[in-house]
Amino acid sequence: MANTHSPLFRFWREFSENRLAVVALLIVLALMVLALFAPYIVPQNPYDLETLSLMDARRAPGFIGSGGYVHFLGTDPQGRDLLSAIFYGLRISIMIGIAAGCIALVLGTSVGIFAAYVGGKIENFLMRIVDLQLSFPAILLALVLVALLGQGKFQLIAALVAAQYAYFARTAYGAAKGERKKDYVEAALATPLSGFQVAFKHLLPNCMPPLIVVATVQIASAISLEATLSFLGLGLPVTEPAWHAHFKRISLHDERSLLDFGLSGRCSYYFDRGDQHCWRSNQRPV
Amino acid sequence: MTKVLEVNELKTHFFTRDGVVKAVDGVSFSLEKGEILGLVGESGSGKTVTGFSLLGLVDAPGQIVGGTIQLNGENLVGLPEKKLRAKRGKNIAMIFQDPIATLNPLLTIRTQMSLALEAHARMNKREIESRCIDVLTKVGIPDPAARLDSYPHEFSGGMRQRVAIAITLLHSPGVIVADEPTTALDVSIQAQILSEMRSLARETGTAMIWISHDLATVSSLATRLLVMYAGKVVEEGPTAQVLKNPRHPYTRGLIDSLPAMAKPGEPLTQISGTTPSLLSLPPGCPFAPRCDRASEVCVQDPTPETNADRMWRCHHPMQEEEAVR
Amino acid sequence: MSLFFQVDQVTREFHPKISLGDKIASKLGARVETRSVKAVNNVSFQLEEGQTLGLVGESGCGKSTLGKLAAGILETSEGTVLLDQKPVMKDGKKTTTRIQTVFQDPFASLDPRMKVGEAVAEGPIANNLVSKADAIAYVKDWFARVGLDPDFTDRYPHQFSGGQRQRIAIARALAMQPDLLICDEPVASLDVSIQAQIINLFLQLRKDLNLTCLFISHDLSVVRHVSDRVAVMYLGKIVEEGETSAVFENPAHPYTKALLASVPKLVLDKDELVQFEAIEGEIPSPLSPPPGCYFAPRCPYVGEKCNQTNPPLETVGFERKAACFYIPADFEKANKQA
Repeated sequence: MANTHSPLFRFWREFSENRLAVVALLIVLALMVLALFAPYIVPQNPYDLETLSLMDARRAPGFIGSGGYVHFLGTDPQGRDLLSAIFYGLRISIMIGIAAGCIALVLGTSVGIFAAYVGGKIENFLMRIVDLQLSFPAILLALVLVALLGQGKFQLIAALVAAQYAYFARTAYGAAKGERKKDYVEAALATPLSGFQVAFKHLLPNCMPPLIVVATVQIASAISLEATLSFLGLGLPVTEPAWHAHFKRISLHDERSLLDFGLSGRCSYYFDRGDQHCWRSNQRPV
Repeated sequence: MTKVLEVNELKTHFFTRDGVVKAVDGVSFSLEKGEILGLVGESGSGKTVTGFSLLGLVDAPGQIVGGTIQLNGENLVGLPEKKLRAKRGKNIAMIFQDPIATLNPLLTIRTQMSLALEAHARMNKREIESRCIDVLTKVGIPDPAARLDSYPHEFSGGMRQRVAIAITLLHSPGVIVADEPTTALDVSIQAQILSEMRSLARETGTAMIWISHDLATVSSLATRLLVMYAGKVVEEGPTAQVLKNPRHPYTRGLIDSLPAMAKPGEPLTQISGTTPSLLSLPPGCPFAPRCDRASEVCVQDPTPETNADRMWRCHHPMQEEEAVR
Repeated sequence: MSLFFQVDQVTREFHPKISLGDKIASKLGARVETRSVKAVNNVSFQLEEGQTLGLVGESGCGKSTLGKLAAGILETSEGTVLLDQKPVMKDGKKTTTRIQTVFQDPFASLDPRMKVGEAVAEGPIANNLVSKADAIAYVKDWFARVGLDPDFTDRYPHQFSGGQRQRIAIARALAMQPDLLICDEPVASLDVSIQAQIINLFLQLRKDLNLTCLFISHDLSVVRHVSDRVAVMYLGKIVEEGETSAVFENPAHPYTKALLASVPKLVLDKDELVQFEAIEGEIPSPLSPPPGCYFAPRCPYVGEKCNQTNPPLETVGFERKAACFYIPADFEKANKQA
């Protein structure tokens, strides 16, 4: 029982045992690095109209353009280097995905835990709204919202948050409802501690494991949702290259599904694997 | 008397990430027809793993690494799973602590019992029914014919445990391993089940291993006691003798620490410290760090001493004149 | 002596959850079954300062619910719980820090994601018993008093054994400086050798801090050891109450008698098996208790009256109450001798 390792260390030990998870983590980290350092890696800034030349438009991969560098993936109708555009698009996709995911996490978790904690009519009211929302596909809701709010980064994030917080709310509610019955919560209430303290110091940390799992899925799905919206022409304005806007433009549907798979599906899958491991290890009685 | 079960130097180890856990480390005992053997120990003493090992139910990372288990003269250790399964339930059966977990909530008692029966015997419907009613009557379930079509949730906790016991009795196994079967039950229900079990063993000649942490309960059933500590049997002998004149300081400590042994309100005699982690056992006698009789020799493994039908594993055993009362 | 702690005619009912469909159905005139369970049924008792009352009974008898009502964790359906004449709960909120609880399962009662030192400090800081600056020293002091290494405050609950966790739970309760400690089966989930340690710690601290205690347990020998008075519960009611040794040596109620007889006791001076007597039958369902005395269907002394009316808890001897019409004759005899 003299297990003096910190929880983080134990998580890492369990995580690192799964090679697949480690490989996935490396891929994710690589993507993050690519997105973060895109301006230093790729030759062209696709936002900078001055560097673009229509002379270079619609060129095949391997073409050496007016900038004097190789367009490894060719160029689009505006003469943008596709490789650069993909890396810059990665930045926006990841940024919107993570921002929307995190805001939805905070909002949804608060709603869920609050509902589970107060109970009664407020609980019923909040959770029925969530249920109602869950009964519609997220994409539908996002479409309507984007149509109402208009285009732009913040509008997109707002639409994604509104579409996705329900998943977090439902998960947090379920977990908190279970934890609420446990002795330690009763002990905290009997001390007595205020409801706020009980909810955030005791309920919240113990509801985290399932929430982390949901978060990994939801961040990935935020990215693909954003991609879908862009593909449908409701995403970011054309001046901003997000990943899937490009796929639409170059109409490489096979490649699209491949990359989609690579970014959203695969990553979240491995994220999940890791988190479930962590979750299980924390649940195990020592 | 015939020996139905003979366990010799049984070793079950768990190969975990943090090291080898010697949950059962050289346990030997034998069981005669109709005998009830009490296996007493605290959590982590290896009593439950011993029970599971007997039925070959140890899961990875656990493994039986040594010793023999002779059931009616046949060694079970190393037997392929298929052959073990043919014995399990038929020649040796187990009763678990939690009757809710043992019974399938979705099936009626009749279905569960006929499944158990058909696993080892070919019977027609009428034979099955009469056999089921037979065992249910034996464990004291009122109106068994009517209860056959009930679901587990329609029974109370005590009745559920009776049903679980009835299922183990279906094939009249020679040996029943009971792992804390009354711990989850109320005192008054426990008393009922204990007296049923006592008469069962007497009538059917079924030998039983009764595993429990509760000395008093075990002593009300078992004629012989086995006291386990950290994977080893530290003391063995006839119940009355072990209780009256325990030789191992740990057994003595267990008896003395019962509230009934002290005057109300007075401090109890306590064993200091906690049960050691099986991953980092002290050298020699595992009880030495908690023992007030320990000396330098205790860092060496004590060899078992025997006297008549008693055995103890201690360098400084309690003497005759140190009897409890 | 003024009444220190009083539980006055307390009842706690649990209603089944009625689904929306059933609600609509009942509005439309359908009959919907809404049987409620009285987990605690019109129970009264008092505690004097410094006294320990043991509460015994089998599972489902309502002893834990009564403990929660007394601790201000649950609201009463009827009746009041008073500490120094002041109600313990008001508008669904506990009003006092002077009552603290130690729970049965030390694995469930400590937050697995909170350092144990924080868990002990949390209550006193929130209730201004200690300042944040002094909290560390305060917690270390309590760790030492319950027999734990004060350096362990930075660890998580999973790094401790069951006995150590229960010490932490005791430290957490006592750090609130309570006057009344409610112990709900504090040793039931511990090993025998650890049980003795925790009982000794409890006895020691009770003496040092002059605590008043409500000690709930199904283990008769533990209750006998620690309590001054004992109350026996059966199906939501107290059936017998009195001074501990008197109740154990000479039980008045047939249920107490049968319960005592059904516990296997270690008898060391005989060469035979330990003896016990089983009570016949099962505890009736609290959803549909028998019409008269709840114990009547299992009682060997049952008379006519028992199946019609529920006997009230009446004084039957010196500081002794029992709820029975036909108190066994051997009690009367022993009572007169005493």
